[in-house]
Amino acid sequence: MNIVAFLRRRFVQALPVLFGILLVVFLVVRLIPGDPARLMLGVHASDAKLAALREQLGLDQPIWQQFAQFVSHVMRGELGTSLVFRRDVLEVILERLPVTISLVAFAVLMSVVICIPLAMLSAMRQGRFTDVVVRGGTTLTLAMPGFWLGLNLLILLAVIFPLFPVSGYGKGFGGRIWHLFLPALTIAFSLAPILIRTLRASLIEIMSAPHVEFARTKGLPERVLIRRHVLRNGLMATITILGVNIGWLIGGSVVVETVFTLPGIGALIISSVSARDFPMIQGIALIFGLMVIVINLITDLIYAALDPRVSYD
Amino acid sequence: MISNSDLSLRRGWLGPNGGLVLGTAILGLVLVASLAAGLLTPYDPVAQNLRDTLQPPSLTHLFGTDNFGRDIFSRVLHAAKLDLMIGFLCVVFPWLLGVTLGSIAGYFGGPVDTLIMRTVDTFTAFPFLIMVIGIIAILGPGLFGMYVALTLAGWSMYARIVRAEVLVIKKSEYILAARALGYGHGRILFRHVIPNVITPTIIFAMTDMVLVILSTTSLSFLGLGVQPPTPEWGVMIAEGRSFILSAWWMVTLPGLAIVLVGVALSLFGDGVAKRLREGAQA
Repeated sequence: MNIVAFLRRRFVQALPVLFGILLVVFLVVRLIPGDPARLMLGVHASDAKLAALREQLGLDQPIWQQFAQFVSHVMRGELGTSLVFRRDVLEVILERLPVTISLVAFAVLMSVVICIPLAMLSAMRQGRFTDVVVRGGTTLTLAMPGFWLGLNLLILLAVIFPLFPVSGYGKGFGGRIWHLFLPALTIAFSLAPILIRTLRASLIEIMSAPHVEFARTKGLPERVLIRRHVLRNGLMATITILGVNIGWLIGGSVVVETVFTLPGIGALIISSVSARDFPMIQGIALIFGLMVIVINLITDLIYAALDPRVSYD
Repeated sequence: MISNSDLSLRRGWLGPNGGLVLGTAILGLVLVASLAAGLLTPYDPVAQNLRDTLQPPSLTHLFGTDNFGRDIFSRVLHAAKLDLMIGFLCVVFPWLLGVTLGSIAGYFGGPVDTLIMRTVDTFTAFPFLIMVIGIIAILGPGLFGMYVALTLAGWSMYARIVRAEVLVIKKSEYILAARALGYGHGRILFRHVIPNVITPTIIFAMTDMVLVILSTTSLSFLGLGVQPPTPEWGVMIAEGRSFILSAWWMVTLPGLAIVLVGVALSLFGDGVAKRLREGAQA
């Protein structure tokens, strides 16, 4: 099966989920008890403003018609007007989306870089001191909440030893990397342990597989053996786990962006909740839902690219 | 499924299930310390003392004081009750909803099954925390909103696990026998099916506990869960956020409580899960 047919099929498979995401996002506003327009604008809003918002939301129509209207608006990229920014929701999101995507991508890269050597070390010295330390470390870091870890990294590496900036996003590529380092490290601290465990377990399994035993009998040095025959197969499981955890990762970006005051959409959804900016909350939730679908697709593509046994089906 | 704790205590000091013993001991200690907080520290967790603000940790104030001069150690101890209770309920509520809906889906099949499982697909497609935030946005921040949000966002995994089990078990002879005897669906479902399918869901719940306590404290940190001035670990760290330049202890020390409970929960959860798995095989 070729890649175009694969993508087409995956798109069809994603349709019910896409429909569900649209429905949930739609219901976020419709489930508010009372008059959503009144709730969003507050008690002092003028009747004209209330009427305008009711029309934007289509509140005067039957619910199924409202949903159909909502879907057709979304398809045209019309996510409404933010009540706080007084601007198009999609415009504001697209301005901030690169921050969140860079953060997530940087965090994934960092986690993989941390994970591979530690997992290899742990698997090769299974049951010995190094292994116990690595595994103990994963248990400990998994129990650390991201917001606490982030603040402590700030205290240590930005306040006591002023190596990194306390907040903000920075200018230019170098500045961005510098500003995103601690936030990405915070996410990596919770993602890397999960990856280390998966990779360690699959490395140990593969190390006793027949093809590896054969290569060992052939007299291949252990290092070459690991690189050529073990690691590549082990990474498959790690990529799957990465795909499974992407939802968590994105949730983590909400907390970390808030801690480091990064101008991404994660921090924006939190401030929108306190400001009751529902069109913005809907827009960001929708974008996050779509991101998960897209990232899962990318994971599948990488998987097929890395492993010739996996075909696009 | 990946287990939460990999601390290898097997060959060690505390017997074959050392992790379980250690985890239970820490959790028990934290709970007792919290219930006896009034005896352990002389300070009221909410009383302000504006002459003693932002004091660093010392023998009089073990964890220092915050910007209102409140004793942080006393607040951390008092908060443990609330944090553990929230964590417990936020595991139990989604479990109840998930097991009920999942077994209904598996037992009845047909359109009911399709409806419930498509809902599950949607819920698992959404990033967990985004779903929770969306629901809290509707209900408003606070404890009630947090319970409802975590229940609605967390039930889907349980439903999926339980449904798979029910599909297998509903074909077994004793269920057919119960049907042949003319028992009602409710009786068969709750007396014969569910008791035999919940073990894998409890195993999942055990490994999920750490993530739940991290989520609840995160929500309170973000201002969406427990509200100040109630002593709660996430709330305390959020309050300390404005003082990281001058009073690190307001952030660092309450967080140690979360890490301690987190590690204890993973040891406890994995220990229980291991026991249950062994029991299921025997």
